[in-house]
Amino acid sequence: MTNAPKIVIDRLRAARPDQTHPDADLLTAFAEQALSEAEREGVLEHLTLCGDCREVIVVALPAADIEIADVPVAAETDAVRTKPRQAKPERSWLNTVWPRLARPNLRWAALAAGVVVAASLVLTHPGKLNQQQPPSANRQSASIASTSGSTSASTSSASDSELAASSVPTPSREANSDGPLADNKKEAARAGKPPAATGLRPSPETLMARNDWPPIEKAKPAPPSTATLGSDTNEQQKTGTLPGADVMSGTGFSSSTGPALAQRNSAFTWTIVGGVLQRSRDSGQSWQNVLHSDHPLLCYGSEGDDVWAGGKVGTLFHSTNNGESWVQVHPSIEAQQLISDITRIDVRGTDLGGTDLQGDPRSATQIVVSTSNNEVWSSADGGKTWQKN
Amino acid sequence: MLKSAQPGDGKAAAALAAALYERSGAAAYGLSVERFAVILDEILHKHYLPNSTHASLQQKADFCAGLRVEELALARACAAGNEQAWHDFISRYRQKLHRMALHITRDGAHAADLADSLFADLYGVNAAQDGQDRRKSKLLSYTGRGSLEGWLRTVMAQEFINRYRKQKRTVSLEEQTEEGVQFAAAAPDPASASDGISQRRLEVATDEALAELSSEDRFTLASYYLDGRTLAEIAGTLGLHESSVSRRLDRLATGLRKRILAGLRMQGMSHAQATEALETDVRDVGLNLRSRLTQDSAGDSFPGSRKVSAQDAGDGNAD
Repeated sequence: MTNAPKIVIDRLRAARPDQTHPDADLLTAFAEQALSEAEREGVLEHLTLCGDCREVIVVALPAADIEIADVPVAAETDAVRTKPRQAKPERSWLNTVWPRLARPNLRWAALAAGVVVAASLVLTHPGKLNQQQPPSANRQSASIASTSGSTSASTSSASDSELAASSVPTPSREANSDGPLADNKKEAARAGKPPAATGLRPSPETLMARNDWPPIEKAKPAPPSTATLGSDTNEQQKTGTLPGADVMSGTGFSSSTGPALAQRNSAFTWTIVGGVLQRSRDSGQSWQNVLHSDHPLLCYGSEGDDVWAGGKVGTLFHSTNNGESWVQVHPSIEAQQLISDITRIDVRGTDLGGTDLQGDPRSATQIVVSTSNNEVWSSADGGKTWQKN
Repeated sequence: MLKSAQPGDGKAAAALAAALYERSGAAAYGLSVERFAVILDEILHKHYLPNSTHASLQQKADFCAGLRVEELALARACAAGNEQAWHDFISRYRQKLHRMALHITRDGAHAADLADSLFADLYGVNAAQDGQDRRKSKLLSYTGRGSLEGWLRTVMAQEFINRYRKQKRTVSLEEQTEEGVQFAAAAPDPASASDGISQRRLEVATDEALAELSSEDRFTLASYYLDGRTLAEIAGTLGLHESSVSRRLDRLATGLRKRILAGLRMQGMSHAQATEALETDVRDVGLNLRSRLTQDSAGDSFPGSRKVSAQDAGDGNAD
């Protein structure tokens, strides 16, 4: 988006309103588009000059007007403007650095230099680079490597590949990877049935959820004991129990091995950095800020296109379209509201049997939210009603 | 009562008041039709007649038809101390008020404090200062122009911002005391004479370009560039779609640049001089320092508060 000249901002800032502010009635009617044209014009004239009244108008906006509004992903990437309240430092950084590269050839040169540096890092320190990636990115890149069979697969350890195969069973990888779970699913595929019909009961455990671990923790490779996770998981699946997030917690991963529902897992990779939810379309190669909040986000949970993000002071957001748009959810039971920090979100799927119109297995989703004061809130209807355990 | 310019309209005015009274359900709260007509008359004098001195009865009726008379009756009955009205008000708005407070403050403790404070104002415990026992409820100022819920949100937002501003001023003063007044003492270097002339021309051209814009355009610019509002927030305020706001901002930025350049050339500058004057930002240092000072004083002085405008806050009460 084209930026206005700085002198414009300066002159706007220099303007001062008269001391008579519109009363709450007029401001309310203005926000609700209930004023006559003449009245609206008068209020707008004042608002143009009065930052206080502009602040009142925005603070008084109903939650839905702000948070339900679609958040275009493209707009997020190019200008980091989805939530300028917290994105302002980023915007100012962009505005100060990018304009200096005003000449197009300089911009391309900077981009090329970045690519060269990244490529050299990959070639010279593949192991270290692998460790520095967030776990989700790590595991996705490993899965792609094993799927494509390219030479880059050699940069991932065998345990990483095995772990990736067992933790993110995307359909493509399920058909190609060599992990034990994939073998199991191959058998199911050969039997001409969806994986859920092979006798593996869908797991009530978390499909994909984890807390916001510090990046260094997330980047730790799987410990030796979890390197054999694939076979362990396979065994437990046969008996109808899954290790779930507990087994994976050492790496910050969560279980996503529910055979039927796992097929609905999104192609996106998620992470939280600095209280901001990010997603990657390209297996962690590049990250995109998706959700800012006034309070830092601490954890997320996702299942298919369904994504939940929780944070400080009971902040909870829900997206049903992979983060394209968000709705803030205020869990409450009668007069009691959830206002503690949300430290963990579990999105649990339950197989309903059969398939839907698209041929996908039918399932219901339960959201379970854990808080810093050890409360557990759950909802089985997408956050409309809540129960407290 | 609803008075009309034409004496013969007296019955029609009374009929209008009676119809609105019927629609409002004020009778259930013990408000008489005469009292309700007086309330309508007050609202007309406050919001409509100052701008429409020769309004016909029909025009007044049209204005009154746009009022939220049911919520108006509830609010005024609460202000008058009707128990049934209070019961209805609390059952409808108590939980919403707490949610609003939590949404505004994003902090449980502050939310409870803010909601309780507003309830006290609505009940009127703070107004009995004139020696009389009769309390004055804040609900008396609700006139039904917008929804009662929206009005409650606005009043709460005003109270929140007033509190924040007080806190901000206190913290700023403390910081100044602790750190000395080095910022204030550091006067910026005076610009050269030619820079000063160029700057003055630039300001004039910019002011003229801004004056040509509609108030809604200027509001959009101020919200986006001064307050750092999101497209969604601006769109929500103006009742537009985000993409419309985005396109408008793009158009405004491009148009303003052209108009300022044209204005500079009208003042005798060549195209190259005008472009240089616009692109060379001699105010960078001063602006950065000022914005930094503003941000410093606006920092986390109110725990859990939302972002407050980075622009210099005036001292006026928003109420």
